[in-house]
Amino acid sequence: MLVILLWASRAGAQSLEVHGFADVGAMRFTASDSFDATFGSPVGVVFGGGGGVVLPQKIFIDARASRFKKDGERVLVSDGEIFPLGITSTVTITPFEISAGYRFGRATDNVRPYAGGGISWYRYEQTDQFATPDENVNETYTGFHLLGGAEFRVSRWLGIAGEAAWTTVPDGLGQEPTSIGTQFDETDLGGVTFRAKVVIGR
Amino acid sequence: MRHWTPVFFVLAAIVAWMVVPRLHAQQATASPAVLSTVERLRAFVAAPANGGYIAGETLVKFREGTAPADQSRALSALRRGTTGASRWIGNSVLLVSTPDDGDATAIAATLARQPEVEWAQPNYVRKRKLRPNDPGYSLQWNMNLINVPTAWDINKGSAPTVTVALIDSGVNTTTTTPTFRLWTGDRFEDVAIPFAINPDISAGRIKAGRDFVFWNGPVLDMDGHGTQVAGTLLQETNNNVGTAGIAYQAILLPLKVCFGYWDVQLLLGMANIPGFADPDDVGCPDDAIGQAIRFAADSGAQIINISLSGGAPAPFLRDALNYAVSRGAFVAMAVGNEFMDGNPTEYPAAYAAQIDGAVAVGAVNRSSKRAPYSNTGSYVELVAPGGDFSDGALDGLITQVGLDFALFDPAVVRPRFDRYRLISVEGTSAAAPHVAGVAAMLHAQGITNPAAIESALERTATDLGTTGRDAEYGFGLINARAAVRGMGLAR
Repeated sequence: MLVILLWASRAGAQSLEVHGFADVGAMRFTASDSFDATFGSPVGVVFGGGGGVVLPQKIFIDARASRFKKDGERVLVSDGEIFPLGITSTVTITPFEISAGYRFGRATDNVRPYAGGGISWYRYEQTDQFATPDENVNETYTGFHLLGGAEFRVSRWLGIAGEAAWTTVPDGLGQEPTSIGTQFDETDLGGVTFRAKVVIGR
Repeated sequence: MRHWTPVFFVLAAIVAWMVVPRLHAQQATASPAVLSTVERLRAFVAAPANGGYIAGETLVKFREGTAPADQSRALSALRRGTTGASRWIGNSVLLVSTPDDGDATAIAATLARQPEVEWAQPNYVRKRKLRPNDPGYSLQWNMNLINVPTAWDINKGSAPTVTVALIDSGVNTTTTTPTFRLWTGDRFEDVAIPFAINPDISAGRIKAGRDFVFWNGPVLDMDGHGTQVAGTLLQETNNNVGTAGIAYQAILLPLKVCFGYWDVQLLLGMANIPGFADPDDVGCPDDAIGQAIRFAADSGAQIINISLSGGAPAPFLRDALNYAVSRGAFVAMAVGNEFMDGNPTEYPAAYAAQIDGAVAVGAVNRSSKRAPYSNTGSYVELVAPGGDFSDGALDGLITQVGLDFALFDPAVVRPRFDRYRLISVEGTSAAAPHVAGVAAMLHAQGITNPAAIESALERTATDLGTTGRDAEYGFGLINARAAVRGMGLAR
């Protein structure tokens, strides 16, 4: 991120816009049955932040890191019925995303819609009660995402935005017999996220 | 420039806060002081629920020759910093204390990425894998074969809320010395015959049960088969006595349905019929088995073990099994030992294939091969250790604390059923209680639906023989740890 900012500062383009942001959102995971079985809900809260630039051509490039962490339980599934086993399972998902897209409107507009897409790296960690180190999981998966939203300028350097994103991370789940994803034939670690962002900069 | 220069500094500060670790001037050669005893004890006690490591403690080894300043630089990669409680272990390993950040796996990953660091790991708490102190445990290869000890790390041998009905030759439910009329060769005599409860099963874990064949008195085992099966199922574990049992916290409901040699001999005496019984005149009638199955279900037994079989279909037993499962009881049944005698279809095990919540159990030896005697067929659903003399002689058998008695002529030796010793056996009778025991553990974890227990056992079994279900091994060898551990989101 600093590299991008430094590059931007040296570029010296008059209309180059630089911004940073923090966000909070709700993600509904595509593997909804698997997440529901583990956590009691297919939806999780995700906190994130990042920054980026908007090129003179209204092309933006953003980098964003976020984090989902939740305690659930290991389960058994029989005929669609979920049996929690009383074994705590902590899952931490740390996505890192590079996005590019287009910002509509002019820099002076109060509301600026945008849309884009990019590549995602999802670091997945699973730590279970009673597990041996071999039984825990620490893997990184690559995926893709599309996003769109609108930014409302509160002041010259401050904005708020609402954003929706769809991410697919193939084969992040359901690759092992003891994965709930295997039980439900769910293999995608991505999902749909709605988030609110606070943007500093332009 | 004029528009974004101030923004740059603001953003740089924000990004630096979010991305770049806050640097702490930290001497790698920290004070030898450790976390206070209470704090560390709490973290230690919480370790099993916290990924198995002490929260906030990470072991890190620096590369040889790394200067203290470089060590400090590496540690500064931790965003929330370390504390003076970090301490050296030897010359090159530092126990890094991060009380503000308990996630030692993340900390270890961060440190491991630093060029000065050779490796970093959370301060894991190694658990002594429960290896029972029962003196005969070293003979119980069967427990390791199906990962029972590591399952005990998760589930301490079921729970006292789980009742397992054992439909068999009974177990001694009381220590008593009743007098029976006994033919002793040339006359009848009133003979005092002592019985004692198995010293390796606490009397408090044995319900009164019911005798369906001998009398309406207390359940007594005059055959030894039931006592042997009960041992594998739920003998006391880690009590410094005898051997271990799988569901060592579960409650036993003994239901006697079999006539052993001495049952018949004593009944002959009570009927004033002189002479000795034929040792082959033993067995377990369907009426008793069927009644016992229903009695078990009506008594609230959640698990039923039936290590009995025969070659004739028995609708009475089929209906009883369906009844028991409908009442919430899971049933484990032996598939029979007649493979080398024509491999007939054996009942009631053969009914298991049509009943979700009842399983037919075959036997494997310690090499995880089907025991030569174990029946095969489409009804075999699981296999478990059953012992095999041809694979290791006595060491290849299933050993438990069993009844030490003899089929001697009562004219020479009067029967007694109050002595126990380690006894080794083989048979699918010995295999079935492994499944019933693990089922009892699952029930204690909240898997109360018999069909769900069967599903869990089959899904987590270790596939043997032909890939997938087959006639020799069914779905495979029961895996106790995999069953009680269940499934996680990704693994």
